[in-house]
Parts: sequence; C-alpha cells; structure tokens
Amino acid sequence: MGMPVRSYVTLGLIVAAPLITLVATFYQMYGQGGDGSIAPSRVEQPPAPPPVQSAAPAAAPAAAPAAALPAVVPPKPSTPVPGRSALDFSVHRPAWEAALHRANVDAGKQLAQAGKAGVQACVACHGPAGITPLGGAVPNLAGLSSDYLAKQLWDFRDGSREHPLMSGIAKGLSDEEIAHLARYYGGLPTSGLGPAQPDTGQHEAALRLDTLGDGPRALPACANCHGLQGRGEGPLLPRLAGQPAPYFVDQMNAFRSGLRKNDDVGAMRAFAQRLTPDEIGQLARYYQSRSAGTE
Amino acid sequence: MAKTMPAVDVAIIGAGWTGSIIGKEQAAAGQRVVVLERGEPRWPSPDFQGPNVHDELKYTRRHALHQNTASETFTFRNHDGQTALPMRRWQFAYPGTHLGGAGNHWSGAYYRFDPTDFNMRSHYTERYGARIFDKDLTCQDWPLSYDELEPYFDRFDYLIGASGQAGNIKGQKQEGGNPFEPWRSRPYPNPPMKVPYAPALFGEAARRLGYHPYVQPSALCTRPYVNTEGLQMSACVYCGFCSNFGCEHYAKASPQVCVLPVALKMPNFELRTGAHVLRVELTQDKKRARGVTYVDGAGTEVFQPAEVVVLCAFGINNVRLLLLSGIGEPYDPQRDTGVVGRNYTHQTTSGVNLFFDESFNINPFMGAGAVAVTMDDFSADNFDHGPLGFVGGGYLQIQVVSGAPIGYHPVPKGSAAWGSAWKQAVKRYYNHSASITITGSAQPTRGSYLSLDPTYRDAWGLPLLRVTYDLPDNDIRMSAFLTERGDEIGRAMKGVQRTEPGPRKRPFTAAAYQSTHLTGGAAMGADPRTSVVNRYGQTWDVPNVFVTGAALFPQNSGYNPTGTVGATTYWIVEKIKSDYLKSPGPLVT
Repeated sequence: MGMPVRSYVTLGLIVAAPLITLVATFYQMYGQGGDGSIAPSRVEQPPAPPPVQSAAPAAAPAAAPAAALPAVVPPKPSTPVPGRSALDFSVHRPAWEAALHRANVDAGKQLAQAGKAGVQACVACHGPAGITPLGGAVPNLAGLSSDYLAKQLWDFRDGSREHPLMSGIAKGLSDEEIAHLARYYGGLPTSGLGPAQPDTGQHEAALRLDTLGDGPRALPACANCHGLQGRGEGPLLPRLAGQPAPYFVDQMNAFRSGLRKNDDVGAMRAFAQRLTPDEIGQLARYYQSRSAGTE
Repeated sequence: MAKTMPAVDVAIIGAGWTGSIIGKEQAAAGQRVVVLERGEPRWPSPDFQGPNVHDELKYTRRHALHQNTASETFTFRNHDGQTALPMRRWQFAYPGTHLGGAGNHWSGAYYRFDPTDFNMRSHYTERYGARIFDKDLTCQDWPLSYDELEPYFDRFDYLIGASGQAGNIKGQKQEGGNPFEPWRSRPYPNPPMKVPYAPALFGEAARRLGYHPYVQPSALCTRPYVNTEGLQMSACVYCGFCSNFGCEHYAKASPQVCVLPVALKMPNFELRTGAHVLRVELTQDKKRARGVTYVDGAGTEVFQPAEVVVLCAFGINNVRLLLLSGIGEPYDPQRDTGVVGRNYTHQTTSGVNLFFDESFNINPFMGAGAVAVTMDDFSADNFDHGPLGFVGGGYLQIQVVSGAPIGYHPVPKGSAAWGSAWKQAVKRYYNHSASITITGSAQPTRGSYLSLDPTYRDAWGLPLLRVTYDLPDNDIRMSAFLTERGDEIGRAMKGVQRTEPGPRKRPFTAAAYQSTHLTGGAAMGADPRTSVVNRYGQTWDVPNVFVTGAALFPQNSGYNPTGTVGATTYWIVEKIKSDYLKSPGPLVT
C-alpha cells in the first residue's frame, strides 16, 4: 500500500511545489511551537502531527502553568543498558565523512536554489544566504558546520530526527546531495546574521543557565558545549546564537517528545526534560538576541 | 579555652568519598552527624563551570584542589639514615582538599582489587612457596575476602554510575568483557567509554601479540544516569580536564555529585567546612574518644564532642591523625614493634614513551582522565610468577588523559631542552606521541613507614607526617619485567618510530609524579600486633574510633584504589549500623 501512495505524493510535490511552499511557510509561522509557545506536556504525549490551526500568537512562554514542571517527578535509579563491547576499539567514522570529502559547493548551491524532482528548493524557507526570510521555526543555516548540517540531513533521512517537512525532503536526497548542501551552507558567511531579534531583556534565568547551569538539577552550563553565548563549538555542537526563538523552542520540544533523538547518548533529551517551559522560553529569546556573526 | 559545640553522635573528619558516604548512611540511620572538612565548599555549579574550570595554571600547576603545602605538607626521605625534608610543592602525589577531596579531582579510573590482593601472603605461599617473598617484604593478608566485599563493590558501582562491560557475572564469563575480571553480581550500570586513537592502536597491537586488551572501566558516566541516591549524572564529553579538576558536566563521579546533595537535605546531617581537625581527644585512660578538636575558619579552636569519631581524611593523613592523637602504638622499624605507620606503600608505576610517524595524528587533547585500553595479562597473579621471582603485577594501557598546553610537550630524549630547537621538537611531536602507562602493585617493607617528623611542623605547630620510603627489590624486578612487556607492545604498534621505556629505578624520588595512591599506615588486619584496625575499620585500641580509606590497605594492589575504598566504606558503615550502634564496643574480640 505504501508504494502507490508515496509515488502519488512525490508526483504531487513536483506538480504543486508552490503550494508546498505556502504550506511550509504557514507551518513555520504558526505550526508546532512556531509562535514561541511551549508544550510542556509534550513529554508524556506521543508525537502529534503539527496543528494546522494557528495558536494564539505571541503568547508569553512565562504564562505556562507551574504545575507542568517536568522536575516534579522524582527520578528513578537507572537500570543497566547493554552497551558496546569492551573489546571493540574500532575507530568511529561518521557516515557522512566520505561524502563530505568529495562534496562540491556549486552542486550544493544549485540544489539549494532549484531543488529537484520531489525536493523543494531549500532557499524557499532557509533563504538564499542561509538566513531565513520567514522567521518562525526555521533555522538559519549560514555558517553552521558542514559536519553538523550533513549529520542533521542524514538523521532526518534515517528518522532519528523527525520533522513533518524535513523528513520527507531528506528522504529524497542521496548521500552526495546531502554532502553538497552541507558544504554549501557551511561555507556561507555569517556576517549577514545579526541578532535575529533585538535584545528584549528579561532573560536572567537564561543567562544563568547559559553560563552556570543549575546545581540542584545537575544541569551543566549550556556554554560548556555550545560555546560562549551560544556561538557553537567544534564540528557537531551547533551555534544557537541568532536562531529564531520559535526554532529553539521547537527543538527543545522535539528533544522532550523524542521526535528528535539524534543527540549523542541522549544528553540533550535528558537536559530538556529538566528545564521548565519558562526557562526554555527565556533561553530561546536569549540566544535569538545573541550575535551569530563573527566579530 | 577552646569553644565547645553541642555534642553529636558521629564526628567525621573529611568530606571526601568515605566521609560523605559514612555521614549520609549514619544520618539516614538517625544519628546526628557532623562532617568536618578542612577545605572550602566546591560545587559543580558555579565553581566548576566552563570556561573557568579549564584553567591548567590554577588547578594543575598551582594545585587549587590539593592540600596547601604552605600550611601542611609531608616530609620525605628514602631511609632511616637520612634527614627528611618537607615537600614545598607537590610532585610525587596530589593529596586532595576542599569538598570532595581527592574524590573530586581524581581521574575516574575505576577498578576493583583482585581476589588475590586480599590473600596476598597465603595465596602466593600456596602457589609458589614462601620463598617467593623477599625477606624484607611485610605484605600480609587482609582480614576479609573479595567475596565478602563483592556486594559493597556492587553498591559503589551503582552509586557512581560506573561504565564498563562485565567480563564475569557470578562466575559466568561474559562476551565482550575482560576475561581476567573477578566475578561481579551485576553488569556495570553504564556502557564502556569511547576509544580514542592511541588506545585503539595499543589494543590492536596487544591483541596481535596474544594479549587480552579491553576498555578500562571508569567512573566517568557514559550516558544520562540516575544513581542509587536519585541524583542525576550526565555523559562525559571527553574534554580531557579530569585529573586535578572538578567536572563541569556532572559526568565524573564525586561526593558532591553522587552523595552530598542527598545528605545535606537531612536535618541531622551537618557539613562544616573550613574546619581543620588537629586531633581526636581521648579520655584519660586512652580507651575512648571524647570528640575532636578543630580550628575553624576564623582561627578559633573548637571542641566537638562525639560518641563516635570516623577518620575520613586523605589516605595517609588519617595515619597522621592517629599519631597526633596517640591512638595505637607508633611503628618502630628498628625493633619491629608497633603498628601505626607500618606497611606504607605508594604505587609502582612506569611507562614507555612512544613517538609516531607524522601521519599518525594522536590528538592528545581528545580524552578523559580514565579513557583507556588496558590489559590484565600481567596483573595480580594472572601470569606465572614462579620463574620471575617477584610478587604482584600491574596493568599496561594507553590512556589519553590530556594534552594540556603547559604540562604536555613530549619530545624524544636527546632533543634540545630549550630555545627554538626545542620548540621545533615540540611542534613535531605534540600530536604524534603517546605513552604506555604501567600501574603496578607496591609491596611494603620493614623500612618503609610513616611517622611524625621530629623537625618540621605545620601552621598549627604540630609535627608533619614523615614518609620514609624506597622501592623494594621485588618492585624493581616487577617494574623491569612489566616495562619490557610494554616496550614490546609499543614497538609492535602501528606508526611507532621510537620507544623509550622508563622502568622505575632506585632511589625512589619524591620529585616526580607517580600517582596519588598513597596507601597503608593504618593496616586492616586480624592480628592487633600487625594491624591498626580490625576487619570493620575499628581501631583495636579505641573502639569508638574508626578509620576508612586507602590507609587500611596492608599493601597496594596494581589497581587504582577508589573502587576498593568505596566498597570497604560501605562494608564498615553497614557493620556500624547493624552492630555497633546497638552495642557500642569492640566488634572483634
């Protein structure tokens, strides 16, 4: 049953690309978490399709009820999990490494701008310079590391990261195409990336979490891994600075719900569970207001 | 003149692993507990958060988490014929201070002692005959066995979120684990660590030579974990700042991550920092402790009355407290009498430096304090000692600890020692070298012991602890043998162009770091003539004083001590709870 439906969808995508763009835009602006609101109960719920109806615009994250704090559940001792063999010394090579080595920036640019049969042009949502013109829950891709970008597309494709639009798009990409795109977006300058939004103040909790973490909840500072003020660190720890707040909230919700499970050993999933909705909202606005550009 | 505090049930000296565990367990049993920590409170947040915690100058060079030698240090000499001199800056070991002690700044290498470590004298005598022991060796059996301790090892494993792959569960060999591992009742709570490049090369070569390399167990958590106290730990990120540092990720097990947050919520548990204990106060007949005297942060002398006193200071500092308090008879090597200070040992370590072809990029900064591929083929009694003529053994491994910029600039022997030629050599070799580390057992001798120094005093006017130590012939032979095996493996490793083996030589020098595993001096035993405490850590002479930690070891194993320190601590506190509290008095008569 799957094949005919899939073919039909593919055909539909080719024919109705402008329509998809419209839907995508609508989703990004008003869809799941797209207005900056947080769904604290999402932890317990199975992943739901994005609501099509618009949520109340600009609802303050601070309004989330305190009763929804995830930390009230006392943690239970972990049970052992089967792990790697202690006799396995094989060197881990990322799946995308070889393809990235051969990737071509121009091929990436071509694909990003024009798309291909079944694959919407990236620029429609992520912008021609890797800076989203749409706002909402769309990330700015310019200057993110090519390794990180390649890994995310790989993960969308294999399902360890899920998204209503990106999962389908990634499934239409070959290893080489993913590498071309990653190379292209990774090479775009971040100079055009000012703070996505002006500093709105009122993020003391976010500043504390970013630089000090929180002892009673055993939360390390975000900056330990994501770099000073969310500038990113190393090839796989993404820049948070300058990302639209709704995108950040969306990702934290995805970690909480398990829609996104491509973090190493579940580190982000565990941290996201221990943050309150208010803190997530504050962190989102804090990182949005940080400069992503190189100084 | 001293101020007197309200009496408590238990006064604990030191807030490291043992003091934190004993304190929490006793408080949970309803006892009023005070833990006296000489250092300051130090917590993962805010004290250890990045980027400040990655400060090599502060933590490694200036010893921010180590005992302050300006106020209290050790003196050292090789033998009785010399005058000991004080160590002005730490070289040979890093005794911990501040909250968590050495359990906070440790590396996280995590082993259990081998069953034969516990019956050292009788096991070797049975297998090889008594003549395997050199005459000067004073190693002896523990008064308890590995089997008795196993449930307590298990408990500590799950407290700290140990990572590894079991090799032997209840006698059943496990696929993918260390074939030499002693039996354990459950798997490790967390999977083994990832393997950096140099350890992987070591593992490949060792296996090719017929050995049995495996990923070292560690106390660095490998996934989000909730421990047996309900406390959260996170996954190690392999930043390489473990040894001498606090961990910003809640990944390295420490008292402040794994125990103290729970203890501090109990109303009958009090942690008093800045409280430097001078001595345990005894009754006039010296048969009972009345409490302890300490100096608080303002310099005031304070008497803390207590029903029970537990010594939980850094390893051999407990021996100093016994000597300063007049508990037990000090050891006299000339007459071979007394017990306190007897059977002091260190850890007989050595290494082989490896220099690689420039196409082999080692990336030494990508590591962790305990990430290693290691092998036990020459540990404990896993090999035939008969033709070799020594007792004990050690593990061989490559561990990628840190490529920290001040401390790490390996160059081959014969390189220029300074100037641009040296800089060129550092540039050539920084990313193309590694070391095989050999961590060996250490046997005690009649001439190696701890005592109070007759000359040098601390900031409070009390005699310093004097270390008299040299390597026994037995350990020199062992080190030569193990280092030769290490050199063979190094030469078999891919990419290695040059090896530099460095077996341990006499005289032992206190001016080179060897390990922080300073053990013995308050040996646990079955016979009061050769031990300071009974099998429950209770001093033979003063039954309401208990001792914990590595000072109890009658000799040092080839394995790192913390696992056995943790297990013996649970063993001791369970006996206190089950028997001593009901009927205070000697637990062994």
